[in-house]
Amino acid sequence: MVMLFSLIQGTIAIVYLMLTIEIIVTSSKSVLEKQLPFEGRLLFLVYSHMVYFGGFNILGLREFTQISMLDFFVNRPIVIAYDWINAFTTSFFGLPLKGNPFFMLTYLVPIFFVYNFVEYWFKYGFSDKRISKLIALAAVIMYISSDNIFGLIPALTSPFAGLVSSIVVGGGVFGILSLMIGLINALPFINLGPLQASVNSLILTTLPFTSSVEGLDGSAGLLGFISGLSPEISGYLSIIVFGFLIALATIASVYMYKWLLSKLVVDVVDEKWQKIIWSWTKFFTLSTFFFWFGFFALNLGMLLLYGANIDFQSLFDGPIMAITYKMLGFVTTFMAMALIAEVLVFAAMFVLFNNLRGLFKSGDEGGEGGASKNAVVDESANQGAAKEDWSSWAD
Amino acid sequence: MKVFMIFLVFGMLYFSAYAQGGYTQGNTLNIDIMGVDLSSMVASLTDSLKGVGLIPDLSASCRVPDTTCSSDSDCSGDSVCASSVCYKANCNPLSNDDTKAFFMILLLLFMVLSIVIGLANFPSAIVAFFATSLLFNHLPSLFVTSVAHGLFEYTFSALFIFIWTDYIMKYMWAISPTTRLFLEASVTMIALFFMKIEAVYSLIETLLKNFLGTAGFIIFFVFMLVMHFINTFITLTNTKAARELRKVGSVKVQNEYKEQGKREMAQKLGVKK
Repeated sequence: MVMLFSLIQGTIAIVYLMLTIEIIVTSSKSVLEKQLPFEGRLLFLVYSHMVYFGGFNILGLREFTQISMLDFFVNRPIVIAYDWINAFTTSFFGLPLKGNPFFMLTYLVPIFFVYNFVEYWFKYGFSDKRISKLIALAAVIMYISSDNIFGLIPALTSPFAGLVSSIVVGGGVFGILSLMIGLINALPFINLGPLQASVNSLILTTLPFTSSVEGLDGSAGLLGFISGLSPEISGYLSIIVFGFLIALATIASVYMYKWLLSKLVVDVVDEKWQKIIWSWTKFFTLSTFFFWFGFFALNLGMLLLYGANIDFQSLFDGPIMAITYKMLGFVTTFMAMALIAEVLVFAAMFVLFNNLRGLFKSGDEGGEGGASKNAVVDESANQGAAKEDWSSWAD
Repeated sequence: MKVFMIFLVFGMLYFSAYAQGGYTQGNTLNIDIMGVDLSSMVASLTDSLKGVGLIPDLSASCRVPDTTCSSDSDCSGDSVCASSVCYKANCNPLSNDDTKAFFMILLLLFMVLSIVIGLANFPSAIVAFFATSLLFNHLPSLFVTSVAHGLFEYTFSALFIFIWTDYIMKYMWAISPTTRLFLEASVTMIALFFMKIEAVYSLIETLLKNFLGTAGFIIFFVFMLVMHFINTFITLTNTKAARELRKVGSVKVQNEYKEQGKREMAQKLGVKK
């Protein structure tokens, strides 16, 4: 029986080994190709690090149940796979993996990210594999030879995430919320000269979501002040709360859109346009939801790492915190901009649909200059049908 | 290929270990099946590869000198025990000059193999790794950051000029491949002999660095978008032109067939013109 267990675990370990290598090499590529700022597979990498280097045990399950399926199918094979990687790096490079627990996360993943990022965009722009590969390799060399190895990452991710979020931004409640938070978050990034200190203190005392903004080292915000937690924990906690609220607000905005469109748009546009508008709305709002949910999950992962007593204080103080707050600031600022654009587009759309009402609906009559009496009758009949169709899409 | 290789190597190791009595954490894989001691075979293979110089020893920067250990407790401070040697905790091998230079040369060879020779990524990486290791062990003077970086700059610039010229020439689709190659080679040669071509690398470096801020990134994004549209436009124009030519050609051929058919029909019917 022991042999059988060993066989099963070893086979799963081979699969995990291949998965780990695949995650390191291709996760950033799939992030770029799918245009999503979060890659779920990276969570597996973080989890396996927690298991191998930190002896992580979710909620004390092992002690509680005595027989843990999670241990058998997941944790133990992860340990076997990582032992193999450790043996490989030791014999081939003379560098044991155990010597630097964060080597994969802090060096390999970023290096592949830089390569894939530059390659992806240059391939998009120039449609030439060789040029993109050449420039991507130059970027990797720049990255390796730079003293601050993290320098490129925040610089590349934060505006990118901002841009993505401005593309996938939703509307309604979410938009108003993001406008408010965006404006407040943008303040620390604007140089206000002598006013800066007072603005910073205003932010810190009034806004619970910015408990330790970049440049305001370790200052606890309202949440930290109330809860008495350390700035780091309250920072991450506040982002989790913030991300969760935004995710909820996004779902609410989907329903709000549905209501808005069913009340207003159905009366003035025909079936084809309704379908187009609804599909775009779904796309925008759902992608926004996934973005924020990913952000929320990422920060939750960070908190779990912190809870697992893994010494990643250096990461906490440095790059990850900087990335998080930069992302937060830029994302929300872009969202605010996108909201304004969105409102303008919607306003223009309504005006357009109202003015072109005759054009949209009286085509069959062949009449010039608007709808005839018959056309109006037909139109009301169509509206009823359209409303029925609308309810079926909404479901 | 990649997945197959990994599966094969580790699968073989695992099933051998399984035959020996299973895997236990912390143990080395003592493998002995059908009278063949695979673990000693692997060890001797690694040793012989090390002897030839095909495996680099990059541990110098991370190893605590003159230490032997059997567990972490034998090592002082936060250092950890691996392969009976103490290693510094959280050591970044890339902070070491040798290692940095090693990866630069590795990337340089990878670039040449995959772009110039056209090998796939995985074989290129394997060949580049062993070639770099060989150089690392036999030509250590090459593995200094300044030298390796200079070498990369020069090779990159020469390659970039060649490929960029090829890229521009690609749009001039009426030029024959031989003429194109000739022109590209000439341009690269002129650049190599008469110009300071390292400036090309500096240019790309400046370009990438300028794209790193928020404003720079937006410019970068817009630039890529514009380039994408230009590329699409030119490709479509070329496709349209090619289609027009093909259409003209096919109409001509059709007419010829038509005429031929008419003639044959006339002959069959015995109609005289």
